[in-house]
Amino acid sequence: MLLERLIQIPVVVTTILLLVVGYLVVIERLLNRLPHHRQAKLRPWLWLTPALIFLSVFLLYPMLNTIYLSLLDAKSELFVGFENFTDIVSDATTRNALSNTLIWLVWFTSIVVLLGLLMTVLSEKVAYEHLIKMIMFLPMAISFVAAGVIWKFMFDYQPATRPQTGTLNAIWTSLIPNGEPQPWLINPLTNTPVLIFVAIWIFAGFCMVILSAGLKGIPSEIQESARIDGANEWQSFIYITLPLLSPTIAVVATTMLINALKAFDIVYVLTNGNYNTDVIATRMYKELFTAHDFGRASAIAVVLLLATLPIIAFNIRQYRQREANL
Amino acid sequence: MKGLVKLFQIVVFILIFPSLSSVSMLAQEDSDSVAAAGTKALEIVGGEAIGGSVSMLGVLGGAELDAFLNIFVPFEDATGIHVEYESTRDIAAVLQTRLEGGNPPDIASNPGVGQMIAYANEGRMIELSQFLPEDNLSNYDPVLLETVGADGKIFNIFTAVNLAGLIWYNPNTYTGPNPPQTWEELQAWATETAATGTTPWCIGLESGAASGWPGLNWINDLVMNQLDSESYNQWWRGELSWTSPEIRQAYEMLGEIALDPQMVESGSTAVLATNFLNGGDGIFAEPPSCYLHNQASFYGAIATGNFPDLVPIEDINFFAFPSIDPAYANVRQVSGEVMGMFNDTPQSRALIQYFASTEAQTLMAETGIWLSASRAIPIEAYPSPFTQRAAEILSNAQTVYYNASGLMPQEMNAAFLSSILEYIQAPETLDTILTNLDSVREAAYR
Amino acid sequence: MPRLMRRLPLHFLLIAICLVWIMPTTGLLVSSFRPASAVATSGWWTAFQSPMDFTLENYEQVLSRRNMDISFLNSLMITIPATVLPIMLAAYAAFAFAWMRFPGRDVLFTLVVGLLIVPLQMTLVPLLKLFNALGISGTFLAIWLAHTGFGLPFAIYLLRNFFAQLPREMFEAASLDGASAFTLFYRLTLPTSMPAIASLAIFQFMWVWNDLLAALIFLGGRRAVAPMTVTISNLVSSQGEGWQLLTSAAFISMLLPLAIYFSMQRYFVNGILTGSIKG
Repeated sequence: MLLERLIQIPVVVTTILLLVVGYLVVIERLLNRLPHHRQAKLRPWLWLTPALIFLSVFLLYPMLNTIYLSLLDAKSELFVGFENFTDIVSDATTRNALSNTLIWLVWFTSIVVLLGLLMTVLSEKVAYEHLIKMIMFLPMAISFVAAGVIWKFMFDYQPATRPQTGTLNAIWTSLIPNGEPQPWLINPLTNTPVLIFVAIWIFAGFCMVILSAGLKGIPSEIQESARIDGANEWQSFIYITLPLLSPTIAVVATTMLINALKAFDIVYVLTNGNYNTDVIATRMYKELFTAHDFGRASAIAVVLLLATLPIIAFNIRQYRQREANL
Repeated sequence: MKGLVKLFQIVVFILIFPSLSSVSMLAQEDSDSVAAAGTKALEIVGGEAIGGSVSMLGVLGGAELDAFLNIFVPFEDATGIHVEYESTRDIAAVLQTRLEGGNPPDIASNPGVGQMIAYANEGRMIELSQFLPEDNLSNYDPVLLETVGADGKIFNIFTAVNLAGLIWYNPNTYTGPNPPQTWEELQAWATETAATGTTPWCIGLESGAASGWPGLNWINDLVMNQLDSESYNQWWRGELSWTSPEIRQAYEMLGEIALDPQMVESGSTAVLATNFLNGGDGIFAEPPSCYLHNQASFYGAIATGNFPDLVPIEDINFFAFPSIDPAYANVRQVSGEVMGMFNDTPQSRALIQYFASTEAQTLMAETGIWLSASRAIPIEAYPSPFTQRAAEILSNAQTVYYNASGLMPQEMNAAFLSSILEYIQAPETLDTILTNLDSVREAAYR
Repeated sequence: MPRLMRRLPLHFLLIAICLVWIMPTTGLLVSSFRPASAVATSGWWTAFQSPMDFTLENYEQVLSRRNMDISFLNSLMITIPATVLPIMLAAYAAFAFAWMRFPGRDVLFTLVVGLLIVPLQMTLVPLLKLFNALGISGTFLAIWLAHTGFGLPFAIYLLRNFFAQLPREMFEAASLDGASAFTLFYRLTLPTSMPAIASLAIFQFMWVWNDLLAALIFLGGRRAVAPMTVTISNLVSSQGEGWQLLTSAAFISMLLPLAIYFSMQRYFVNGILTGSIKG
């Protein structure tokens, strides 16, 4: 079985590459036989077709299905109109989850994007840039199963009478005179901030990798010429780098906003939404797999969908502006 | 950088190589019980290997999975049927999705009994009594079998059974009544001990996404020892209000221990924040920071894992939860997994028949991890002192219940679980908590 | 010296953040070499006090675990196609979105971005039904297709933004020289966007490599096809015993993504564009 797999892998990868590149070669051949104006009309669609097929089948269709289910009852049998929506809005648990998600949206997104930006720009200035990037990237490579264990080591609580096994409590009790060990994930004052920190820990490296890819795309001559014109580091960052980097920042911010809306794994693994840490996605999961209420679960998914509309509107505006500037 | 890449390649290779070359072998005892199981398996398939495979979805992993699969080795050898065990910690979600998506496993071995009962009621499972021989079924407690079935028919059999409601102690330090005749007697000793400045109890409820579950066993112990069986069954069937005095009293009795920093090690914060794996550590500390820990039969393995020097029975032992109301003395609760069928194939029928047989259940007892639900298994079949003692307690029981939380619909079970954490965190809200449980009850049993 | 002094706060800040970032992983690494009983009763930082008690036991147990070898290859079998396929298809689409004009372009593109939000959980049942109808559930093909679908929105979104930032003059000059769309794409766009493509590749690789849910649903945990995430999560018993094995397993499963990250390092560093084109 092992040998079979070892042979299969290169064969499969080569086949896929041939198919995908071959598709482009074939359509371009066919296009070239057409008159010029027909080519220009048809070409974009042929380049888009494979991706659009995947998107329609794997995301668009399930999404439309979800919208449809959100109007049906728990077992997807009867049409109930907007009852699921009025239910979830009037339900205190879901409202609580909505307000937690709002906290996630604001704090997670702003901190992770700013931190990513700060680390990207500052690490450019030192010789150990690679090391910094690797350290920031490391958390992304850790699977969620392992992350659960890591954070157990960080937030673990032992009664004051016993030696602390959690890093955070060990630091806390040794730094603060008479400091009592804290149940970080249980205390409602600390648990959501702590969960958000875990998310920031994971995604800061992601922001950094993308932002620095964007930064590498800015020709260094532009910054140098600004410097020659007498701008200091700060000015050249604000007036030159930042505007050129803004499309990339927008991509990162959008992705992080959506991550905040969809935040699930961290909460699910560490608290399962107990002690007031529920977010929209954990509510949806519970409606789906604990209560078996497809209607309500779908309604929550639709609420998520609606929440992205402003983000999308922001993106459209950005494109329009950039197009106008060109 | 090139050098680093090379280094990594070498490291990856070194790490992968030994596992590539290792040949997996199942340690197989060639004992009489294994041979008997093989003979039984062959008899079930009519004397001739039929081949094929059975997919089984479950939650087991690590050493316990190996032990569980070992039970099926004689079956696989004799029948040629391959058992494909798929394991997931998130069985509720995976099973539901696979079932909705039209791709269920042939068999599920599921600790979420409420989910299995619901599927049986919805007609999505195969009735087992149509092919399980009567003389085989009679080895099992008929009430328990009916409990995990639907409409009086049998849809699930028991696997991987644990006995809950055991109070663990360290014989070197514990000086209280042993075994205590009544709860009152035990608590009198506990209160006395508390007055001397050492907390008698320790509790740890933290368990990641499943946090709170040891509290379910606590409440179950406190309820079933004060309730007739009719009312107990009404409770998990959703016919008894959560605000009724019996249930409320169970919460309050747990609170008398878990909320009192003199009764439980480090008070309620520690109860919530201590992982269940470390829940009983205080018993073995020097000096002990507590003496008593209520946990199921598998706790022995946990404690000896944390403290490898412990000698079973000498350094760690248990007695059964003492009776509260003499009218319902000697009631016991089991929990664990049930096994049911989603695809009716000759292979999965054979597997269920084999598993329910006394021969296979003997192998179950021989794992030293679980108890067998079959009453035909003699106490001597249990090799570990812990499981042997637990099996003895179980066989002497007046009434055996299945853990009520496990039988409740998932939504009720989840709310019950959260209610424990909410109560320990904010006991003054008990009224609200119980009222909320009642409103979940209305939705969950529809 | 004054320069160093002036930059001291900068170094201090960077090193402080890095220390915070690496601490959890360090704790895991140290713990992975300690016996379970020691980890359960004392903090990882105490490991270096005497008596030092280190062991390779956790690594040995994970590596010798049944099926670890085949599941490593299964993970590769799943991950490589599920990385290559979405990136290539996304690159085609992103190129069209960035450099071709067609009616409805903006609307279509925003729809793609909007699909980022679709929760994975809501797609599982409809897709499983589809795979069953096609008779491919439980096969590698099903999981390649699923991961391609899930990965596309972000891939298109990211690549379109990077492609669109390439200098227009470059394309105009090449077009005047008679270059075809095919040439513009393979000879100009792809090489100049390497930092973005490399970032995308490493992310997609890691997401698929670390995925557990989609594997369990579309592939199942059968031994013949189970990836490493499934085998690793099976190391731990249902009561949580054996959790210490997750420490070493985490590092073993991290090695390959990290090796890839290192080997792609040079693509992260330079886009070929830098310095070659005047702004």
